[in-house]
Amino acid sequence: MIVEDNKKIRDELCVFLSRNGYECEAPEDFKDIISHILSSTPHLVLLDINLPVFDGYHICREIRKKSDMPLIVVTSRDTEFDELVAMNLGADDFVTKPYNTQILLARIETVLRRAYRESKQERLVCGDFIINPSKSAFEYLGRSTELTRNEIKILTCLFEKKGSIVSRDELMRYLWDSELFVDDNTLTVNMTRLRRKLEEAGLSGVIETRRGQGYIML
Amino acid sequence: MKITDFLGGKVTYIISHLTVMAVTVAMLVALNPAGGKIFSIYIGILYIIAAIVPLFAEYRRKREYYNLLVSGFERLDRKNLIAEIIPEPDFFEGKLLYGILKASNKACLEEINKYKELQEEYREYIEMWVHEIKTPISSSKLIAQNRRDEATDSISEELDSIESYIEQALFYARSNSVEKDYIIKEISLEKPVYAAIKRNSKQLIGAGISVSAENLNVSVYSDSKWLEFILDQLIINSVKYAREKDAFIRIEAKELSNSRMLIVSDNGIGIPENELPRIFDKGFTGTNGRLRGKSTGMGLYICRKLCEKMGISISAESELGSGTAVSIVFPRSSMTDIL
Repeated sequence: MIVEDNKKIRDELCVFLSRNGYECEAPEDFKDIISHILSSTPHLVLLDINLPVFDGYHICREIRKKSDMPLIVVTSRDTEFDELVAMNLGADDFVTKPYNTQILLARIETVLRRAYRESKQERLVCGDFIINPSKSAFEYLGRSTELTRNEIKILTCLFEKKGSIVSRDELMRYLWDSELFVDDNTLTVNMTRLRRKLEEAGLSGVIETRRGQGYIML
Repeated sequence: MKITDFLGGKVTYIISHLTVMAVTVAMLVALNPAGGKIFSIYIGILYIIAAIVPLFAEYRRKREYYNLLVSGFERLDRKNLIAEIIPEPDFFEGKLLYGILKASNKACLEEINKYKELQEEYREYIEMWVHEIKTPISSSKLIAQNRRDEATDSISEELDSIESYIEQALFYARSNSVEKDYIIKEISLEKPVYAAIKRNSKQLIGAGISVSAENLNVSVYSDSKWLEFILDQLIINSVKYAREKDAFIRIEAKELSNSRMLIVSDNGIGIPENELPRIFDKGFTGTNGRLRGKSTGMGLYICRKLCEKMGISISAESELGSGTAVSIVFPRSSMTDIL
């Protein structure tokens, strides 16, 4: 659920998040917002601080009295102090505006994973091919191959965008978002090794190079 | 206060008394009284004593007071507060000047406070403005993100640079504020360094600069957000003045005997030796800034101000043509002692 009073941001966030596989609800009336949030029990609340009627801190406190649903505070106030207040009130995370959308997605994912760990198994499956990021390995026809941190990230990124071209820049940014600050050469080396490992497992040609554009997983 | 200086101011008093005494003695001698010459000289001496005693009494009193004033003034850090520390004198001219000094001091403080308030108001306004403008920037970014093509990607980049200029304005306002609006606590260097790198990932990757950030699992005392801003500025500079090929930025931590050091080094175009001492000055752009035409001369200045406020030091080394290294030193013992 998105609790945000700016209509444009609300709408665009909805579009953005739905496109990334989340269902969104964005209430427009803030008078009974607290009971509304509590009664509709969303999987996660994105909460703005500057709101009409009640401010976000108040809403956060009231929700925490009754529920521990995952809650991310989104605000343009960005001092340590604001972060501290939000965390003390029981928010699971704190994102400052104007957020990098990729970072926002990553935060949402982390908070959701933490909250619903049991119910959601973190595996990417496609037929006999299974990627297991938590073990840093993939399985094919029951045989498991271990991968390095960089390799598993590259594989995951390509898998998530299966069927479409991923540029080298995009791949690098994906890796950087996980604190793996690889450069161009390293990416090439990692790519070669990953392909070799896939080949050895009997998966040759799943990653194709499109000259001047990037890579694609088929 | 020397006796000669004091007597110098009493020349007319001394001359007039000496003259009157001389005339009196001369008249007495001419009248030739019963006691003869001895009596006349006796009268003269009495006269001199009567004239000198109050003079010396006054000298002692004033010397005591003015010496107190001078030594107090010399020891005072904020010279404009002198009227607050001196006692009220017990002689007339002193009282007059004391009253004037007090009033003038008060007016001066009022004036200072007026400007402090104005500045504080201005800072508050900037802070509010920055938060307001972040909302339209956020929505613009989302709009661009949801309709990705060449044009909106390029708009996204421009929005990023608008954001970084706005951030600079915010921190400039904060760096000048008298209020303490930061929290110094133990933080790991990893968090702000990674955040600053990620924030600039688009530019770094676009410029083909390789980044290494190692051995950063080190804790220091600082405000995470402020440190992130400083690192942001340093990385932006490294990108701006990077060499064309094989450019790198290295961010590393070093342990010193009683401090910890964070070094951001690059192999960029470097800074001329004669300009190096001035790079942290306000508005200094240097040859590089002028040649590349993108410098405001504010980034490093704000960094220095923020460092000063947090009690950490920042310095730079550079060699023209081969690179620059900026080091931030976090004192350890002194900080941990305070906390």
